[in-house]
Amino acid sequence: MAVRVGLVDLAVVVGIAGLGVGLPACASAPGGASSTRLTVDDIVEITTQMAAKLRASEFLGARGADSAPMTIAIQRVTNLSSDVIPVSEQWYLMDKVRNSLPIVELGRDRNLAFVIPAERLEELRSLGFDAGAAANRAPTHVMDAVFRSATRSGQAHRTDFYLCEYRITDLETGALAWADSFEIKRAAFGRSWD
Amino acid sequence: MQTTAVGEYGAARSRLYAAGVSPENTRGNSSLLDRVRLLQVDLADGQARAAEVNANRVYEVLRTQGINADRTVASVVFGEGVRYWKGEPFEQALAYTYIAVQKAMIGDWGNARAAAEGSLFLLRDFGENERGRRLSQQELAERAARAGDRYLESYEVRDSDFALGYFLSGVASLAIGDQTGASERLAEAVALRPDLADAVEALHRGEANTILIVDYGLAPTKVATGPSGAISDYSVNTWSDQSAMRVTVDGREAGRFPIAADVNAMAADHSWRNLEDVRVAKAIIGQGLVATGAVVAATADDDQAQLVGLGLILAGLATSATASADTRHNELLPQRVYVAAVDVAEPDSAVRIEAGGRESASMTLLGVDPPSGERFQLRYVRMNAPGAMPRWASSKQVYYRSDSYDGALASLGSGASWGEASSDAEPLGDLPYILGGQDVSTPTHEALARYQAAGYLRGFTLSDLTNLYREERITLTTEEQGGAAARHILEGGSSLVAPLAGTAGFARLFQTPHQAYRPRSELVRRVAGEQRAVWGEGVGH
Repeated sequence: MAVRVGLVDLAVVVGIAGLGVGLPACASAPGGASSTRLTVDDIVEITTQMAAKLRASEFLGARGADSAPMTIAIQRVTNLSSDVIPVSEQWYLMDKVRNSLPIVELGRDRNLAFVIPAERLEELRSLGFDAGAAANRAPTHVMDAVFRSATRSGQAHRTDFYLCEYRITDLETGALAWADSFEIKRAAFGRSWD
Repeated sequence: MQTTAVGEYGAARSRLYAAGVSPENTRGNSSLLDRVRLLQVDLADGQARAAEVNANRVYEVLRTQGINADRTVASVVFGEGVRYWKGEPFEQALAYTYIAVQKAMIGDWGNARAAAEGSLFLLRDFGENERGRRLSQQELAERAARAGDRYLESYEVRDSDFALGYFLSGVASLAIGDQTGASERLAEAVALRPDLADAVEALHRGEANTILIVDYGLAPTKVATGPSGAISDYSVNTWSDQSAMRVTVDGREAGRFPIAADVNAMAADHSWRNLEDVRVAKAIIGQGLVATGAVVAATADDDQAQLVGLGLILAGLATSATASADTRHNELLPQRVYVAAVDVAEPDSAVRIEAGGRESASMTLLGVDPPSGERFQLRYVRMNAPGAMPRWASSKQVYYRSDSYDGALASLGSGASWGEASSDAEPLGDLPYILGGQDVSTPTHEALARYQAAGYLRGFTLSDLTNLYREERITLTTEEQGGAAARHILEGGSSLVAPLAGTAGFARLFQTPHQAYRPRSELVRRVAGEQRAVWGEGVGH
């Protein structure tokens, strides 16, 4: 479990221009303030752990660079947490997984391709983006994620525990091919309403 | 404020923009207050999608702890104005509510639930005085001054009593299929407001598919009072009562619905107030400091002690002179919020709302369809101030076709806008407004097909049609407007983005005739003239 004491990164990452920003930070709040919202660093840590677990999993353990191609379409996050995660960020969170170095390396080593789903492709095209991820489509699997959270708060502190569940489903059989969860704890100090 | 009170949301938004308010403008200690106001105006105007960026920015700040952590001392010495405004707890709860409403209006129920949950934070409770009344801010300050700093830590923590937040969270949970969570939250709402039971029951039984969140009246005004004006209090504008809201759908009685939040009551309850003004009042020992300093200075035998005494006197005078309560507040909040759960079964339904007691206000919302692909839809309505009811609020006609409305239209009473008097004038819903018609839809293949089927724009491609709007520098999407709402072309602006049907924004724009469009470009003037000739041939009517 990763623990972050919430000095939030002020460098807001723009996931896809015009569709919203990356994970919000305290860019709009004076210095010294903190938040328990998920940050880019949290997702980076998740993808590092995820890549390692996938690499060692029964699902991908026997695959190599010469294995038959496997294409995994990534859906946006389903937000069941007590934190607002705008739709644009739900996509961004999964894009971050798709584009992370550990996952890219895993893809190269095990002949995997992580792609965006068709409806997302259409949305990007309608906004004039060149979605290069359209090449070599025809997904064989789909990856989705569900985020949940529990909150504890007091006079001058707040702690959020996030549980991020990821699943990969075989599209042909409908069977669950792989699933795992990652926990993030974030704490922030200071009053909420003063 | 005044433009908002009379429903002129386009003008209200323009004034906020002119004052530099935007989701990106985070400068200034009142920037959050300004952005919450903008959010409310956009929601009232039916521009929920355009309000998304701003709502997300507001949420970021609300979720931040310790914004004023390094300003507490400064606020004692220099007054509350140096503090970054984040709102009293009740203002924050309502801000979370508006974010939840924004999410629900665009069908993002998962995030609506999360935002509603944000409004349900724990409260501090210092209890009651000897007369059995809730302790006021003044009484808290007096007790703290007598007992010391520890008194302000001696409260009990209790669950929120914000019924509106529980209700919204419950509805959103139902919408995303979390029956357990929904039952819990809706039960809590009913426990706080038993008269919500009927609406909740209708939701559980599947007899309601449309949620109405209706703001009525004016929130109290925050004023400075107490020692050196250090304590803030609230002065009532609209008096509280228990009058229900009546809703009819297509003339059929849909029910009488209760108040879910009374802002007067929240503002008067110390549990819904922050303690900074109490701390400042307690810290105004200006009289005490001055008295102490004078004693030291008068009795000191040496220069050093006399300097200390003078320093104490100056500190006391400075504190007393500048430590006035921060009276910044959100004057756009309502006095009360009603909730209703009704069933809209037919397309193009008319929903009529009557709210308030002695000074009631009513509004007719047209073009309301059943929810499409979702279990529920939510509409936010801001009632105009009593006595300030424009004609559109009671209009029973829709005059313009748009992306939000494809139903029957009323004629403008003349040959389009060309001044051709005609007793049999048909509505020109199959001709763009910029060419003299009554259609303010964005250019699409379907729209063009409709125009051409009526005999207009022969030989035009979709590209040709779109170029007409480009020539007029008319924006077609929220993205083109930088993610924000803009003034609609019907009110002299340059936006074609339509408000949601079933909102005051839809009513004020589409349920009342507007002046004819005046083309800016030669191209559109020429094409409009050609369409007028087509109309003159009898085509299209």
